[in-house]
Amino acid sequence: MTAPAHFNLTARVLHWCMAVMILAMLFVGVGMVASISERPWLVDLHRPLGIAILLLAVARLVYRLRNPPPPLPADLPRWQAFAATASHWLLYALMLAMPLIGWSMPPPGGYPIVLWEGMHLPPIAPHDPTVYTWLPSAHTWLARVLFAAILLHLAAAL
Amino acid sequence: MPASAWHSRLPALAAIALIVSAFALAFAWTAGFLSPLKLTPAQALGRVSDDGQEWRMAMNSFPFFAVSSIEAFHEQVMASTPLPDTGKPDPERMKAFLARHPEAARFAEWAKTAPWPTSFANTTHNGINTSRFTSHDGDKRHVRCSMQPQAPFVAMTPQQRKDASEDFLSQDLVDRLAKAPLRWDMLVTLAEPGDSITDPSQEWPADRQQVNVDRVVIENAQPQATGPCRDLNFDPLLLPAGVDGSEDPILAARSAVYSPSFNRRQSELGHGRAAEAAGATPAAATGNTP
Repeated sequence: MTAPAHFNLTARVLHWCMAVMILAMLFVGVGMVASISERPWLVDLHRPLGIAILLLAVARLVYRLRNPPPPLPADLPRWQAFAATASHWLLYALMLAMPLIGWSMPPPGGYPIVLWEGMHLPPIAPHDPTVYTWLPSAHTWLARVLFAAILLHLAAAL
Repeated sequence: MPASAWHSRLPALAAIALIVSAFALAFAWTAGFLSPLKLTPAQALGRVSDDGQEWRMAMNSFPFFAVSSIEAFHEQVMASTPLPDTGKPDPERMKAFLARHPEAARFAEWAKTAPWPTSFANTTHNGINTSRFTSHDGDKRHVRCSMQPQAPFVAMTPQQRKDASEDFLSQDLVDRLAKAPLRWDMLVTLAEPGDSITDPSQEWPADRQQVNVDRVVIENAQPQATGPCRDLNFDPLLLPAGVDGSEDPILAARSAVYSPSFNRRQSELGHGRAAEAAGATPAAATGNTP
């Protein structure tokens, strides 16, 4: 089987859906912790959007492993090829890790995980201040890494 | 690469830099990195049911809030911040704040003149902020909740006030609970058209309809420093289905402020500074360690 010359339609639809959702998510995230007045609706949006991204990220990873992407241009310098591969896997890792940390964060802080009114997710971590201590800062710092990675990805693609 | 090749690529590189910078700038604005207060400049008792839904209530003995808006709330916090040299708030700044906000002056007057109850058990606890209840058939009503004690109100005498230790209310609570459970009726006051929804410093008229919806019974209490309350954030917007916040902006502000405050407190616990997390200052914590 020869590798395709382009990303196929499914891969492109997945990519652009997630691009919009993840960028929106990063803005919602930083906005909700920095705003005094807009926090409630931003938090309500942040949780279901995060879970949606997690589901799409899993679907996308499975799809990518089953359908190899087109090769990088043959004339690309080696360091650029390496950077492209590494940054793509970093993006995959972060788009899985961010929602998972987000999901595990409320229970250690004693919060319920309300997806929407009346719909709660089961906790995946215990109610424990020691666990809770590092989760919000991990979520914040990885979000900044993710945003930086997206900017690099955007600059490289352009 | 020859210089001319770089030269011909300059416009494209500039465009890329511009697009990337625009995203970075928008992100920094939203995150509040660009404003002096690190805020987005967009606008100047826990109950758990069988299905895991929670209602975290933090109630107060005062009947109305000291300020009417987020801006005034912020101004109040800044005006009451102790100065580093005196350890007390700047009296001039506080005076100017009270002059600008008559509702805060009214609150200060209430705090000075209202009688002090002898116990948590005979105190009315007020929700202050307005919530919105939705009935099963979709009817929505603005309400304010309060807990009316079954024990009759008793005011402290001037002598009692002078002799009271710092934690006498907590001690009294423990003493009373050793004898019998304590009870409050949960009253829901229904708003009439014209009652202030967005301003918690405005009380509703006393003749508003009140519905006695439940009874709260306290059978035992745990100390703040070690009890389960320590590890909970009493976010006023953690509400069960059928109950929502309202247009009252102070609710959003409390939710926004309690969250980082709670995160810092939990972080102190996580780093082994439990005494500080429970409210002691670092110096007092070392002085009182048994």
